[in-house]
Amino acid sequence: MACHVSCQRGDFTLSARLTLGPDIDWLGVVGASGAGKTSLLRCLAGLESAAQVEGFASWAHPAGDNIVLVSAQTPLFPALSVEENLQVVARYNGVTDESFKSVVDDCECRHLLAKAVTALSAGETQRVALARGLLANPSILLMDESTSAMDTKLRTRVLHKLKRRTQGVCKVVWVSHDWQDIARYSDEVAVLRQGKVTIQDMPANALSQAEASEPVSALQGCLLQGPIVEHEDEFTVFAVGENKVVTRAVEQGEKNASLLVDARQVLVSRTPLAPAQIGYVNRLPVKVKSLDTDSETGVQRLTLNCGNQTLFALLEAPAARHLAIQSGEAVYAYFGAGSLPEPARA
Amino acid sequence: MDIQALWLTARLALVSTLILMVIAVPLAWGLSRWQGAGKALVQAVIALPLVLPPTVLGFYLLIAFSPNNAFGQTWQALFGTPLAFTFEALVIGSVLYSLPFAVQPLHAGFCQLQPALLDTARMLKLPGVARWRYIVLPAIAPHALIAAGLSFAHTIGEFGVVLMIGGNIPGETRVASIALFDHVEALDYTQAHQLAAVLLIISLAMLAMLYWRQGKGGMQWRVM
Repeated sequence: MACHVSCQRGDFTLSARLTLGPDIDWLGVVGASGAGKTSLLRCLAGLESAAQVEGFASWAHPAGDNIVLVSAQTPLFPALSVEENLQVVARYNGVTDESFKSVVDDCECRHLLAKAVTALSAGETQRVALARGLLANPSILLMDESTSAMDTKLRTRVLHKLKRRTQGVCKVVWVSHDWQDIARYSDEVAVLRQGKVTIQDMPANALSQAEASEPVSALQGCLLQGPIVEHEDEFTVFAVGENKVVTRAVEQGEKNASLLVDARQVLVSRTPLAPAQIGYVNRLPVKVKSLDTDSETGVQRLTLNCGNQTLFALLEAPAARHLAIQSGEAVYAYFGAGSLPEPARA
Repeated sequence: MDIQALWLTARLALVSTLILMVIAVPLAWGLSRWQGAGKALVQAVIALPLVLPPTVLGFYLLIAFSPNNAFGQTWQALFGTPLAFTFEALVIGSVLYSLPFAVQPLHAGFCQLQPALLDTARMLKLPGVARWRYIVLPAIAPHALIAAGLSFAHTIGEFGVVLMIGGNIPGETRVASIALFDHVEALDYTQAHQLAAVLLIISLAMLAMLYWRQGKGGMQWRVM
């Protein structure tokens, strides 16, 4: 099923084609800032009068026009308390007390109910806005960075509960700058560039293709993704081809696991080092697909293939000279399992 | 003391303010949403009483109220009495004269209302009545208070328009400002002093109260 969205605003043209099959429940949207992510979601939500949207509402089952957008800036009604914000929406959407409670609990808002909306932090405001959006019983929920101000643990809990809650009830199109989240929860990812969808694919494929076309200086990393093989105490092991990759523990019940690999923290070596010889958890045999060098800094980007998955590594200029890796060569890539604390967010 | 004149003034101010609020809220709302070509002209017409000598407005109203003209004739046909030199004429004059004081604060309030709030409410299936009750009215309440206060105070301060269309009929059109003028003309300074002081104190107190409320960071208006 193809959905086409077009909108002309000033000198920006959005003309995006999305493929929305019945097997896609969560569609992630990524792209550089200014690529049109927010415009796309506003068009889908019917908030842009100049927009033309075809074949979107029929994605939901049953097809409905109950499309709700929750964005990072969605305002709460300032004259009402948190509880009133939620209750007024629940009342006009015929929400039962029971489902009201479960929405409030899923979004972890119970302790906020009595507060004034002006007393909430950004992350709390986002949780209430999300809960309020769910109380409108959407058949399609659009989320534009709607969890961006929540800390990692909270965000993981909320997204996990949201994923479970929407199953079979509500389709989701969402924009997030957090690739780990996008990879973990999306069935497919659409990459938006200058108002057009350039790639739509499984998360790992879409994200590595998107990264490969970025300039070397903008490279962040890529995603490995695969079926879960086993659970260890605090870690989960998943398969990439015939190899195993260790990642942070994922919630029980998930079938697939993923790992965001920061290109700056991938070590490349010609010799296979044993776990007792190197302080990295993961080792993958890879083939060098291509090399690019940033003209300004001399930093070399290696595009590495492991089966059908892609990994990137960055080498500083002297290291690149010493190693002198050739395209097509077989090397080993070493990287962590993503369980280190994140650097504090600005 | 001119109790009768003061009471008439208060009645006129109250009736005019109530009518003004009924007219000004939809007018200001419509203006804030309208981006048409004629908007500037409509705004200018509403703002005219701010700059026009009140006697000019009064003069045209007097002409319009005359039984020789369509408006005056229609009125007489409907109510059986001529319009000029009646309390009703004063009310019509006051409403026009104070219109900018009611419309402008409300217009500012509606313009400040975030469109995203109403978009969100519509998306969350709140019907129009609920959107007004929970979003629009709380947001414009402080502005409505200022609009009503200024309309009331401005009507008390009316003189030129009343002089032209009301004349000086005790209990009917002889408002406080006219009575004061009479006292001065009759060289009755004692009465003039008393009346002037009362008007001064009432107006000062009203404005002080308005600014005090405004200074408190707008009004918190609980609606549920």
